Amino acid sequence: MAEQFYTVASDSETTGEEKAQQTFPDVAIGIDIGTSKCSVAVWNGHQVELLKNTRSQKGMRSYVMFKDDTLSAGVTGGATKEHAHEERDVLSGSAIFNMKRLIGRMDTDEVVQASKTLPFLVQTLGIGVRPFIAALVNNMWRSTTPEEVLAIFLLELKALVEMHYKHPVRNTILTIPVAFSRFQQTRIERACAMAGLHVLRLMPEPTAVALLYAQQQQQLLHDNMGSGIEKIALIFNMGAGYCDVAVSATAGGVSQIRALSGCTVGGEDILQNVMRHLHPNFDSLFAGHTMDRIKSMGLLRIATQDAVHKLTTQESIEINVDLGGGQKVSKVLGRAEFEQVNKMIFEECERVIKQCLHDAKLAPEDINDVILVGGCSRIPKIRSLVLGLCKKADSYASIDVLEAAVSGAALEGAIASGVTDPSGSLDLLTIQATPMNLGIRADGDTFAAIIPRNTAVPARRDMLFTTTHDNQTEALVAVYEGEGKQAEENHLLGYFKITGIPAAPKGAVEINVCMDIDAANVLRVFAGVVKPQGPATPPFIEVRMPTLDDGHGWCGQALAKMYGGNLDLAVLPKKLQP
Amino acid sequence: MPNLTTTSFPAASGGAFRRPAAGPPSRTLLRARATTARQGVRTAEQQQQQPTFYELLGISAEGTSFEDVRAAYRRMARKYHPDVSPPGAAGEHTRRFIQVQEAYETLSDPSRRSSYDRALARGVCRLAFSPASRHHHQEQEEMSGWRTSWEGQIAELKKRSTVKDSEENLSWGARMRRRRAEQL
Repeated sequence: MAEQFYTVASDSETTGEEKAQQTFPDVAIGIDIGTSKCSVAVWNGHQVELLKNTRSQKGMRSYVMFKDDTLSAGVTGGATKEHAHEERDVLSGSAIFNMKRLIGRMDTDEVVQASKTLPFLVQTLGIGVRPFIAALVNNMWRSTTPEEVLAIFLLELKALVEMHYKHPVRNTILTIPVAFSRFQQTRIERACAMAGLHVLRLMPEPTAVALLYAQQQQQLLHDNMGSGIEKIALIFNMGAGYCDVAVSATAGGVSQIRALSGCTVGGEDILQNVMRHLHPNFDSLFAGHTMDRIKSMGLLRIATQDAVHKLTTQESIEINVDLGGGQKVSKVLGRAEFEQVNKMIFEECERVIKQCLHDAKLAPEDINDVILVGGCSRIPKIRSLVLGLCKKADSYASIDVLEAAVSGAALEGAIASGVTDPSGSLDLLTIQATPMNLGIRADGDTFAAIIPRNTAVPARRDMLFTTTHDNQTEALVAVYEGEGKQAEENHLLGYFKITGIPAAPKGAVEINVCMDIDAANVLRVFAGVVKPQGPATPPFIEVRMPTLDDGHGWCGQALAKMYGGNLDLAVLPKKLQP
Repeated sequence: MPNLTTTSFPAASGGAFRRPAAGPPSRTLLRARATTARQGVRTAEQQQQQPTFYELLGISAEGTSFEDVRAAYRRMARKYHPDVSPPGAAGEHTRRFIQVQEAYETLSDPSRRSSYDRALARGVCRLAFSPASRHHHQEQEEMSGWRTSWEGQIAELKKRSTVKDSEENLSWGARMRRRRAEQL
């Protein structure tokens, strides 16, 4: 069964081949779930292979089409049915897409708010609960969830790989945006579990690219007998949904992630800005989601997508589209105008790059290579902006803009599955870093970071806290993740109480809160009283985070309303510590 | 000056390690408890034999450059990172990796390395080394530096001026210290 899908390279010895065949069926597949397009790659025994669907696409549109009783995802693109899905079918309201932007987000999230102009239904109540999402089936809105949509998509993707290699697939490495919260990560894992996939690791997208870069550097070293000096790479990745930056230091096959930063701007925002620019009444017009308006919105979207793509190579583009109902858009859009319309987005990209360089404690001069990946890195303004900030004339050329992340994920899949390669091309290690601060609420609503962002993983850090009231016997440990100085600006991951604190004047008790991220990136929080000592103190508590399911915005408010400051903790001033 | 050192240090330093059972309710015990919560009882003997940062990285304290530290860190990472460790040893290797990481972070920063070296020379750095208490450990190092030598202060000032002095750049502890200093 194994023979036929191996294209054995001429230099591959039989021993190497046999070894590869033995280990091959257990190799984890690499998946890049893009906001717009998705791809899958596998280590085939001697190199990374990207799979194509029945329509010969490596990048498959990320959507799920809802029709009567049948669901079909963008992997096959409806190719098995009478006709393949066109972009206008995807935009008809019957398909759910952009699930990567919606997954694990609350209805107060601005990304969810911005999704209300999509053709399918996104309804929000603005109270910090899961948004209501529905697809149009037979002129009726049928509800679903981003996890469910993603699971259906992954199921089809898994089937594609299984068909191709003729054996079952179980393990996977998925790439995720840097800006993904731990809560969103659990949603991705749940979607994978629904599809029968076990997630070995979720890799921030630019770190997957860093791994591929490390492999290429290692290869160069083998070929040229180079010196093995540490090389600093800045990786900028911008797709349809997210923008990520990483700085990595690579030498001897070890790539150390020095800093990560990310935000939720992407091609989708660019697209929406241009649509608003082309059609000033855009928001009010399409708010109602009536049948004719969904259709006009789809037409405008297709025309705008096309224009944005063409503006990467052309100086200007003429847009002429009849939206129906007497509405027409006809305009010539120049590149300068396009850049003006998206000024805010470019500024945000700039901020993320600067922050990443700052966190890595590096100057532009220290960078050896600038790697640009993701669909949006084709936009001339983005290229010039990144290269300008890094003071480089050109970007690193030997990497494919759209295939880098998934290739890196497939490499990691092979490494994590314990595959070794005789030529040493899998002799690689990535030392990951935490993308966001992890800490608890203390001193009122202040966020006390216990594991600061860009700490190498695995990590274990602790901090001492104390009570805020005399004879306080209970304290609430509310665990947050994020960049805000105030706890409420961050993502609430979970909370628990420390009870049975010995009665003492405020500030006299010492409470240790320890955070531990293990090799599998699982976060555990340990907390307990460390002073006074003795049998009268309660045992420590260990909690695996996140504990929250849905409605985490709701929870934070409810807690504040219920307990006020009664269960508050304060950071123990260092002066008092021995 | 020397008086300050002797009065402020032993409580948190070697003394407690040598008399773990009878020792004052110091850092050691607290830490031991915190780690116990997850990794099972680690005896005082184990803690007593904590290697120095140099020993952790397998390099000599004298004449090793920044490049040497980096190369040693990579070598140790390849050995102890849980991603590459044999399945049975992941827990122990994770612990070792965190130690190696801390050693690297300290020794790759010139000012932190010099204050660590001073502490090492006085034999006090065996005091509180455990990954779980990194913050306090660092704090103590800094304090010892300030209290015992002007060099320490100068190094600290240099460190502050090299790493830009914005709020965001400081550790959380540093921000709190500063805030407190401002209030006084």
